Amino acid sequence: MKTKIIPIGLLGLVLSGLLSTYASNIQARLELDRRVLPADTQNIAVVKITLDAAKVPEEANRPPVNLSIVLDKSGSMAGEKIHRAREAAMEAVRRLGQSDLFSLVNYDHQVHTLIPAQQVRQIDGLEQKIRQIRTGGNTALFGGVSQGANEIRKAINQKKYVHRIILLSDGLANVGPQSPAELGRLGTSLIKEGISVTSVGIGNNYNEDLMTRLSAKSDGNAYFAESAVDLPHILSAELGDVLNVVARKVVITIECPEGVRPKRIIGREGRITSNTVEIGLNQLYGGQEKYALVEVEIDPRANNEEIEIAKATVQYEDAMTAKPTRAHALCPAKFSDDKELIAANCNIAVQTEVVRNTAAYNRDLAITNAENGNTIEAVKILQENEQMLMDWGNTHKNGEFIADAEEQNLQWINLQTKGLTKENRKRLRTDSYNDRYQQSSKSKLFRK
Amino acid sequence: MHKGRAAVIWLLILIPTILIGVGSLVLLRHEQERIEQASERALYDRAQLLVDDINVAVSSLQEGLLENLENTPLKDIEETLLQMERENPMIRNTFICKEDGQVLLPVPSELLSPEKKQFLSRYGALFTGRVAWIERKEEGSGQYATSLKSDLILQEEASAISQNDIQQAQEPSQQQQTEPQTIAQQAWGNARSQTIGSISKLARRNFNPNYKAAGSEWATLTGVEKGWMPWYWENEFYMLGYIQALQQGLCYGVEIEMMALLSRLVPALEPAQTSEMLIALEDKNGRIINYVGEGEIIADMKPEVTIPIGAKLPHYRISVYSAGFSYGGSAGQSFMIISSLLVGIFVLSIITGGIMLNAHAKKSQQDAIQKTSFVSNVSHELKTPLTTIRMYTELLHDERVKDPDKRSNYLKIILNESERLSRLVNNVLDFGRLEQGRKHYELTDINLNQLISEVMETQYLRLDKAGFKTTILLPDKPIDIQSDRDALEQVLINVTDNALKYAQAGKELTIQVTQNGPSTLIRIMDRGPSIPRAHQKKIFDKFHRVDDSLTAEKGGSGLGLSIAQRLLQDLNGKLIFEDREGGGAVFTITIPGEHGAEVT
Repeated sequence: MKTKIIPIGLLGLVLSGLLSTYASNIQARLELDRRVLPADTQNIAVVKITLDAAKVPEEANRPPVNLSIVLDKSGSMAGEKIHRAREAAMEAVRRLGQSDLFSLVNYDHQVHTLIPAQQVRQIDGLEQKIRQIRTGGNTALFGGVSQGANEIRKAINQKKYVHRIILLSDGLANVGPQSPAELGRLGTSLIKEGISVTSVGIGNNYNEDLMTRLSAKSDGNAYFAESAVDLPHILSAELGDVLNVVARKVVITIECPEGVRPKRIIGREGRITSNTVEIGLNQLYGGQEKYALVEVEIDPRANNEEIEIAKATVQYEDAMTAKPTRAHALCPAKFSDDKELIAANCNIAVQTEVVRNTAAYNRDLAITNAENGNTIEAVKILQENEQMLMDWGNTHKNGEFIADAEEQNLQWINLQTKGLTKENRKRLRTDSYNDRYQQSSKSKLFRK
Repeated sequence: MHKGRAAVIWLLILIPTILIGVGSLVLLRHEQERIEQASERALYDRAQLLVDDINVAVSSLQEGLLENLENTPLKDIEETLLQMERENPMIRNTFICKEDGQVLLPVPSELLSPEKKQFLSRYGALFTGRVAWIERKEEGSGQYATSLKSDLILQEEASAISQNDIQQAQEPSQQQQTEPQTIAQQAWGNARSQTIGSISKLARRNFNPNYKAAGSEWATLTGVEKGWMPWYWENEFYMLGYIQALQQGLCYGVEIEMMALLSRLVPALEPAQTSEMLIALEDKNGRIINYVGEGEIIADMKPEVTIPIGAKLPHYRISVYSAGFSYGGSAGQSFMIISSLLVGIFVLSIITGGIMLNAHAKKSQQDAIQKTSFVSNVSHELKTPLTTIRMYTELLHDERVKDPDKRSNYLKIILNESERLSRLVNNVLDFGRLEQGRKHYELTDINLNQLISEVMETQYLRLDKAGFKTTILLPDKPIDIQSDRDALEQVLINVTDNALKYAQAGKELTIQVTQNGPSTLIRIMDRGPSIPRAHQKKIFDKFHRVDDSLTAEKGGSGLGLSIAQRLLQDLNGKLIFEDREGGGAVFTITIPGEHGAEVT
């Protein structure tokens, strides 16, 4: 395997240099939280790698989509919810083009493939089938997603497609594997095949852990639709994302020279060895920016020394051409004993992201604590979070952080007075999910 | 004698009936068992088929994965494992460890993700050499491990199993693969083979033909052991495939992504063509992964058939549930219920028929007895007046009586007796006609008051002689009815006669005529001893007499009241009996009014 990769890699390097003007859809950028670090001391610094995806020109041919909608039609979906879910599915069909694949799986206690994977030709016929979906029974979420994946797999080997499952559910899973951990493993496995699961939770009764975990592990989006009215809009936003994928199977590899050791990845998950960090992202949408934060430990360096702290390689598959592509970035750092110089070269933008991710991590921690009955500790964490966000917002005149701090204030007061309500919990969870994974910014529109 | 014969008849009916009933129930039970066995067999075959398929799929996945690893040179193994972990959806974790328990991949450190840390602690016992690297043998796919043995016991067992055993354990699955496919298997369609194909394809995904040369070289190396370990940790089931390069003292392999494997098995479950059957993939604890078929599996439902998937996937099994109305009663049971019902109806109809025949026979017998007694009664009745007539006629004939008064008296007696005789004969004749439905009525306009007066005139002498004080209460207004004159006369005479015979002690007879709406009521009341309660209902039955013995004080045929009632019924009237206040009997004759009798 190795032998095969190296020549391609080399070729990639050469080509990217030659064709950089029009080759890469993705720009990689490495930054340190401080451009100048104190000399002669052990440093802990944060490296931020940012991936910028170019916006897809409107006239350009977007990559075709292989979409499977997995629709929960269990008894609790009766009424307005199923009506809106049907509408949402029909909206999806209408937005797809002739080169796209569409399938629809619905489930109650059992799984039924209502529309097997097919090209979207006869919209009327598909809509007719969707309209006939009726509610009743239990919730076989695992089976539903499995069957949806099976429909996607019919065209899994055709590289041109963006593969996506959209899961619409309002309930807990009560048939088949149903723990967040198990569904998370399913997500982990699906992403290896290039299938992402976007989950749309409807109402206040869905299991957000289960659904966000499935989405997070498969790099899909997670939405929380408080009322069924939001559904068609969410679907439309999600499809905007899906139809706009510019890169797939994105893997970031950060290599550190001797004397620099990666310590942890903030917010995301990945693999760390003694000198490399590997982070997988599934897909990048046009105009989207995704980033990862890596904490590194740097051995003492002499005054005025300059070194490359890290070298990043981004491998991905161009969604347009379905060809493997690479992007590179370097991260220089300077060491100095001039305290003023150090202070002046703080990278506020990176530090802001660190604070944001730390806050998100803390929110998850607070949920875990609250769930284990440790409300006092949870409230304390949220209070500290509020303080941290408020301080940062005030110091750097960042309105967003002040608003977040106020939101946090509201949440810990809620938590203290009402305990962990379903709604409260969903808000905390989706907030932290979106902060950590920089999923579609549009999704936030629907989180009131 | 009669009772004995009835008993014999009953025995003749009952014994064969019971024998047939019991016999058919026994046969039905056998048939039910046979049907149940057949349907269970079908269920079993179906489940077995699915199990075989899953086994084929899982074993080809497992073999493919290990084959891929086997064909990779040792120097590239880390790279290959990492790539497999990154790209192969069926692989959860990969590892390399040394004989001395040192783990080379993933390198234990603080930097490891929680998943990796968990992975290391999950297989800690294995990696550090506390548990032997030998494929743990589970029972073959035919038999199921009935009890979940604890990890420890399994591990101890595992150490004792030799390499030969492992090969033997693998053999059944090979056989399953080569088993001829049945028609039913084809019915499972293409979807399943697609799924299975896709699973086995995944196994070879990382296979690179460039390494074939190196692989064969590698394969020539001796001392390679490989296998699959089912592993239980914190109540969860895992599977680890490993290759041991004994010479190098290295062990490496992959952990299966169980959720991905299960997810791939979901589409393999195809709904049964015959409904009312639910096929479920579930784990040893009965937790359902997914199921198909018409209906829903609810708590407390017990599977009809359960087949473990076997050595390839020991923690899981295929269960078949029956759904719909037949739940709690299989096809065989519903057959049994319907058949038993038919047998029950058969037995019941024979017994009912027997009872009806018996009742009919009994009634005929009673009729015969009554007729015999009637004939004796009538003969007796006829004989008494005849004897009297003959005796007086002889006296007169012999001219031994000279006294004209006496002669006149004797002639009167002869006259009375012959009148009695003709009444008796009239009754018998009427009875015969009524019985045969040949009685004809002639409807005429009748002045009821006049009719009653005339009839009572003829009876007056007899009543007076018997000591009765007769009172006739008639309404002022004449009552005109349309009826059969002779029949009405007969009724009045019979009822009066009845009073004469049995109510002599009361010495009183009152006849009252009243108008009740359109009907007319004639009440004939006496002060006699009335009728015992037990007989009240039967007095209108033919041949019935309160005292039925031949030596009864009073003669009679037992026909009078019966004839009277039937005549009245034919004329749309009725005759009822009531006890009289202050003692005695009341016979009420109801004659319909203007709309009168409509007689055919």
